[in-house]
Amino acid sequence: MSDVIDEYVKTEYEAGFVTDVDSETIAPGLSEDVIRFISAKKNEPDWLLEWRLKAYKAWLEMDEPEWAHLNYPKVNLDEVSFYSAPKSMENAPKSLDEVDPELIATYNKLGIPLHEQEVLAGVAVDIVFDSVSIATTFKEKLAEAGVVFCPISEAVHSHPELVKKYLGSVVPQKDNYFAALNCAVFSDGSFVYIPKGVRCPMELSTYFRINEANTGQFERTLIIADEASHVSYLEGCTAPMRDENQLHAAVVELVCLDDAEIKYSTVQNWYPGDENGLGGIYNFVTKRGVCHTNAKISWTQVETGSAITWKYPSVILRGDNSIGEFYSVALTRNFQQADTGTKMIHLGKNTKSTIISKGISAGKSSNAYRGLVRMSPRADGARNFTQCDSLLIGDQCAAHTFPYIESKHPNAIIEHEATTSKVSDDQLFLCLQRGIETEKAVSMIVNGFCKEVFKELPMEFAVEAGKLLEVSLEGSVG
Amino acid sequence: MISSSTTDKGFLNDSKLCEHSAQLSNANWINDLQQKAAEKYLQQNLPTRKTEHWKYNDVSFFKANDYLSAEQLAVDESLIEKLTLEVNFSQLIVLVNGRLAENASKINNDSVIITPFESADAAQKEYIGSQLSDSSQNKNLFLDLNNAIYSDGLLIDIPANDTVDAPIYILQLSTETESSAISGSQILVRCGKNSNSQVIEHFASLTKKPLNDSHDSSQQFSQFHFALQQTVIDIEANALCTHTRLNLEKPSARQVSRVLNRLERDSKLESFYFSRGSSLNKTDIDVWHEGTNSHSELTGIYLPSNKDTIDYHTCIEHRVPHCTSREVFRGIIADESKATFNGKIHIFKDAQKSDAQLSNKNLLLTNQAEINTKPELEIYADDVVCAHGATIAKIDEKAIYYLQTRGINELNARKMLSIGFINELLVNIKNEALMSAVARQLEFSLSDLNS
Amino acid sequence: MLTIKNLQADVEEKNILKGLSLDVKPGEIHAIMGPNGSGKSTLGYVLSGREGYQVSGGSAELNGENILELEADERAKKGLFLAFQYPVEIPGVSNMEFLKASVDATREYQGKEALDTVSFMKLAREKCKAVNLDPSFLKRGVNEGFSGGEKKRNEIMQMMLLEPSLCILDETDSGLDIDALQVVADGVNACRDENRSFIIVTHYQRLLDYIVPDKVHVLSDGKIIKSGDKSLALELEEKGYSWIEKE
Repeated sequence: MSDVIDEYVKTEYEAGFVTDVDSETIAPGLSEDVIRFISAKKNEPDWLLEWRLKAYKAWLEMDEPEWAHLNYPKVNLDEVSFYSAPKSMENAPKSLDEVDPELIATYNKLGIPLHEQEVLAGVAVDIVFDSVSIATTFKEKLAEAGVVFCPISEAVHSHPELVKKYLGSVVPQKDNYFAALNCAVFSDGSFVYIPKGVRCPMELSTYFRINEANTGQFERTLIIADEASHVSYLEGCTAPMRDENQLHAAVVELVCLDDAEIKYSTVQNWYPGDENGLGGIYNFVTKRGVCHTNAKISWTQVETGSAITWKYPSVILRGDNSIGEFYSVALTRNFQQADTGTKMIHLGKNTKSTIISKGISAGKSSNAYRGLVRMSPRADGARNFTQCDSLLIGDQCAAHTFPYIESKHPNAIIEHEATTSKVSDDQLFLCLQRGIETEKAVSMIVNGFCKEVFKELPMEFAVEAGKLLEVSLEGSVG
Repeated sequence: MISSSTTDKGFLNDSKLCEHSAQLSNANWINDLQQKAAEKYLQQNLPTRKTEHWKYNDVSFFKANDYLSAEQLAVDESLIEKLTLEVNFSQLIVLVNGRLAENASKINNDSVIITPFESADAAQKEYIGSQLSDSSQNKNLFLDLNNAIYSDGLLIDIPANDTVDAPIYILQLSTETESSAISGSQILVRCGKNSNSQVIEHFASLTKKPLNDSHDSSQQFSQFHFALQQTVIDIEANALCTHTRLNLEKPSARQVSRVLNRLERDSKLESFYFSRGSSLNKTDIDVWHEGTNSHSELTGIYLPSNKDTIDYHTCIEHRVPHCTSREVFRGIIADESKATFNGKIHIFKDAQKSDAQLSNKNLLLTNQAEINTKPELEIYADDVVCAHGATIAKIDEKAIYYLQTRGINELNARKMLSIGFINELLVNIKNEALMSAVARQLEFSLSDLNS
Repeated sequence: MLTIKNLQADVEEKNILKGLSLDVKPGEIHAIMGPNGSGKSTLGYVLSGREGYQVSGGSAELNGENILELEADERAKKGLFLAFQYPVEIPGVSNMEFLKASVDATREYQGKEALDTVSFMKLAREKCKAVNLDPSFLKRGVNEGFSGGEKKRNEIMQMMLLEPSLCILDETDSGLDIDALQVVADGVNACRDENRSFIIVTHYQRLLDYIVPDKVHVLSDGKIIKSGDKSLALELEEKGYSWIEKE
């Protein structure tokens, strides 16, 4: 196997890496050569190659974590191909006729226009319809404000000083097994820089670079909000994404300097596998932000997809008076498993954090909240409020809550509450008595259960998230 | 105190431990059980900070080779009276370093029958064997070690339909020792059908100096036995057991223990825990609801100070439908002490109509003190009502100010409010003498609060 | 309108209704009175199809159709409305959203066009006014944080909005002060017409001072033991339930 790679890499070296190919996929498996290949392929500077190799060496010493409440066969990394971009249009479906009809039905229920459906399903459309013009005007507007929003592979060349300074500054290479793996082999992702005092004139969304979505297997995102700036970033799509990569190990780093604010919203709806638990994405994501003085980071997530979700968007409240927020809805059904939550690390004085987590389990799924709130000995006057609620639909599912609460400061106040219950018979009956059918009633009640989180989402997103929940719940009630 | 010792240096070595366990008792069936436990223990690695169950405890002091087996000590009868907290009892069982001190105990087998494992009859043997085998389900290798090394296992039988008016008082003492020593203790309480009983377990340290009630840490840290202990309380159908467990050891004492409560149909458990902490004080509390319509109530207070630690790991298992559980633990963590509370509610598949609630509240008094709490829910049935809450707070400054305006100085105001925070839970102790004894302990522990 | 013959029903395997018969004609108001535990609330739940209420015998027909086999929402769409004694709270679901879903479902069933949001809002505000509820209640979660009186008025408001053909009011008067009682009664009286019938379940005759019934029935131990006109209610008030039970 490694001989093959060696040879392949060698020929590529000889070719000088300037080939302009549509599709390239290297043989599966991971080695130092593969990393050199990826780095060379992207024409990366030496420091970045060294950085990747260092992460790779660290990763070799690490074990896949087993503490999460998840049960899945380990991914055999020898079978994963670590470089395949941009994807060949030859493998993609030629038209929507070739796409799984169930996927299309879902798109239709969500009211997604035909063009967008094609993109989401990975249909080989050349350059994308209207959003090209949208993208252009949008780029002009951002440039005017001085905002940098580009693929991270581009930022390595255009803003090397920022990338070098902040890459790995929030999530260290050795942070965890999946983060280390990502550092070694990351494909691409977004880079955002908001200059001092600038309020980003629009919501930044990965939607605008949707044609790059296929590079998402080991996505790497870095957002830097300079002093007193403000940005709202949206990630993901509300429709299930066709994706052939089983393993996703993304890293997102947020740097929120003094007085700045970052709002990061995610709607994750990767393929969850079928009703028998076959297939589906393994989503192992490390997301973390660091808040400097008076800064604020707010994570909002709606997680309905993936067979396995392992994700803990966290905030390190380093600066005094900084604020961290986490609002989450996680819905699992069929055989989906989610282990998600957050960490709020209070280092500075008068830091505040709020955690609102709503878990819904249906079918034979398992849904766990795992969180950490830590008050350091310096965290004078720090406060946390946590509310974790779980809703159970059906007697085959499971819901768990694992909150770690640690305090070393007498003036820190922590309040944690959690409840677990099913949709109440009384509520259901009231709806039925008013002529509302069971499925609609459950979806309404579940939406109400999630309202505190949805209201944190940008408006259009919130509506779509509501719809998504409704579609996801279909067939779960009976 | 007079001592007669049976010591064996380094007996925790692989081969030695098995040999030791295999000949501890005069009864072969006990030796078999103990040897099995020894084998289980030896298969495990000592916990590190990365072991979830021991995340907040340091057991690096424990080096198998250093340990001696427990000394057998006789104890002065006159001391016992001072120690029993002025509570009336129907029976008194005194154990010193896990060995039964017969001269100091007051055992009358009038209604409640107390049987050393060694003199168990055939039916009792079978019962003891099955309880010990069931209780070997645990995540704590020190409990396996305890099962391998305890000397005087006791079965306490509360006959069916019996109401025991005065409590059964179990006083367990650990003594000072010049080098590290370890002791084990095993107590089974069987509450017969429709019975009603009270059990008090009291743990204390015996110094060579004259006894006083002080929890003084200024004295030189002396070594005490590393006390391992397990109590199994098996509550049969429709019985009620009121259980109180007090940890009032010296700061340098070390204890790792477990209480396993098993509840059969329509039975009820009311338990109360109180601990001042010590250099290692870890209690695992398991409640297994095994019969429908059973009800458990757990109340706990922990007040560590100086450099003491306390660790309560509670796990309430709703194994069958229609059970209710209530759990309230509160702690005040002073000085440089550390408290860990882990409260898990586990609802098994098909345990529908379970109703479980847990609350944990903490006051942290200084920035050298530390509290780690983790209320957990693990739920596999849908028709349930489960809730938990945990808070870490400080004493309300407004309340302190209010008391100050009424002429109470700040220190007293803090003390008053701290006691108030805990006092609410004392009403859960139904035995009045016991309640005032605990109240005295409470006041004493909080008397030198400063923050 | 509603014909009940020898209805028997169990709750948790306990027999509660033991052969109840009742005939309600269009436009009539029937009051059902009875002591606690006589099965008054059970009747409302059985007719509206609540889970856990097992019919063990007899029949109930709404406009000539057997309704006992239908799902609760189907019965509602056919015009059966139950005003709850203790309306449950549904956090996070706004009253407006809830009512719209309810009205949409009913209209769809009746083959009527769905109301657009603007007309619906207008209608809902109007009905709120009629029961003296501030329109801001429409934005709040269903019954969330409502006082007892507000919950009851909310029920009547829903009744007015849904225009059902058979209304069952389950102790709507309990816990209401005299002003709120007047509002509820006015709401019911405003809804009265020749095609709409009411079953008013109550413990006291107080409400019947404001809503005058055509017939009064006394329910005891799962059966109607006496029927009469409104004077029966007054007589009951005076002599107590034991008077009838002894008879």
